[in-house]
Amino acid sequence: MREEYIVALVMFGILIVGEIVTRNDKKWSAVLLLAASVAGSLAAGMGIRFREIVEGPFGFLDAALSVAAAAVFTGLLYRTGFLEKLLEKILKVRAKALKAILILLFIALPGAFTGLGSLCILTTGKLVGEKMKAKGIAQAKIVRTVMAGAFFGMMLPPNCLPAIIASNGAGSVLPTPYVGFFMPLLVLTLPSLILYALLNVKTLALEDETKESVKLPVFELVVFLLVVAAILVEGLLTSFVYIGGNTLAFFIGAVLLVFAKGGSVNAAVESLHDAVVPLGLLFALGSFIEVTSMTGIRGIYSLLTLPQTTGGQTALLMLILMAISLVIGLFLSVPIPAFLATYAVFPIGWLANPVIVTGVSAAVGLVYLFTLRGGLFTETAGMLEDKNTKWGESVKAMLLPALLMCALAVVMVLFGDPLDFLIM
Amino acid sequence: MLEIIYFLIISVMAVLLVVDIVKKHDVAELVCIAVVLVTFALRALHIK
Repeated sequence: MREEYIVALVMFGILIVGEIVTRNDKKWSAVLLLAASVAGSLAAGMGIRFREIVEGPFGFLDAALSVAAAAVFTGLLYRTGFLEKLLEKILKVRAKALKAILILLFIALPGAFTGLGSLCILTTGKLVGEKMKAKGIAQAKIVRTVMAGAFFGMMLPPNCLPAIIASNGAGSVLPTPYVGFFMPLLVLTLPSLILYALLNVKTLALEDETKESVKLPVFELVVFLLVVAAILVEGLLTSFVYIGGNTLAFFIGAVLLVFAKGGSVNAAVESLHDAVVPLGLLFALGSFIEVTSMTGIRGIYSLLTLPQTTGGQTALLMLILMAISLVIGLFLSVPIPAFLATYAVFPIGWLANPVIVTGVSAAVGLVYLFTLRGGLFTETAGMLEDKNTKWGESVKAMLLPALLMCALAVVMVLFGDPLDFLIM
Repeated sequence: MLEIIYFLIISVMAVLLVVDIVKKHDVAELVCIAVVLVTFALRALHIK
């Protein structure tokens, strides 16, 4: 047997056994990825290669910086009470369908900014959950709503963790080109979000019994609108306008919010802490990918796939890896599907356009949603301290929107090149 | 010989510090913080 296969067996063996033992606990995923990286370099007879293990995360650094800045900004919006007021304002909307969409978008907001579904659950999901509980809505419906919002938030632009992961396949260990994803992500996610909201208008369109008008705090509102405007301009007109990047917009917003009522450096630190576990996973995945490249696993993969992947067969390989990701992810959560997403993009490398990469990333996003343990369901049920709601009943409500997203993802993978007008 | 003794002293000190940190915090979370911190610090210091 070739040495590379043995190294791959060791690395994946550690991940599989580790995920089973830790019951897919997401905070252990980073530890497992790092342990597998160390074991991989030892199995290849290269010793503990600190250089590669430390170097790997740098492929994700630029995107991670934007996620970290967005996490602080979003956390401060929550801790200053702005998001609570914003929810009250949304509840005043009269048109039920519009209100349902807006409430779902509200839950999704922190996820859209940061790319992290867990932040939606901890902030806006918690706020909407409390309101729903006060209205006497069944716990199962609350779990399903918060989980759906977190999923859509994670997939919406500007930051989307699955797309950031998949885009690493185009950049390898070089700084990841996470640029031009705004419209593709919007096209992938928005139809499913609207479909889910319209299918669940009764649950989502919460009635507002209070008659007092709600006033949003002016300073926080101005900062929020300026940051949103900067992100929209940057995202929709990437090819024409550059105003410093999302990282800068979020960071300036966060610094300003520190001085708002309720804002403080402590609040900023707490907000960043909420993003540490997903960022740790992202960086540890970088190490894992780097070690697979160093030990020749990537070389073997290229040797086996590249001669077969000419023309339309590249898309077929991507679709096969996406399907494998979904099956593995159902039982073993995110780490292996995340790795497979980058390897799905490797064959097209620098030629990958963000439309195709967005299509591939949907598989990782769907794993976060559908995994039996360690995904959005586990996290939502944990936050709401709900032990009665079953995984199946929550996931069932997401089937139609997920199928729509899946179909759009396949279209993006197959017709990514003609659809490149979406990269603005 | 003295080199080995000094090596042992610094190892024991390092282990004691690690044990103290691990006792007070969640190990998995600490690893996540370490991975993020090392990457950010290396870039901030222009080492990498």
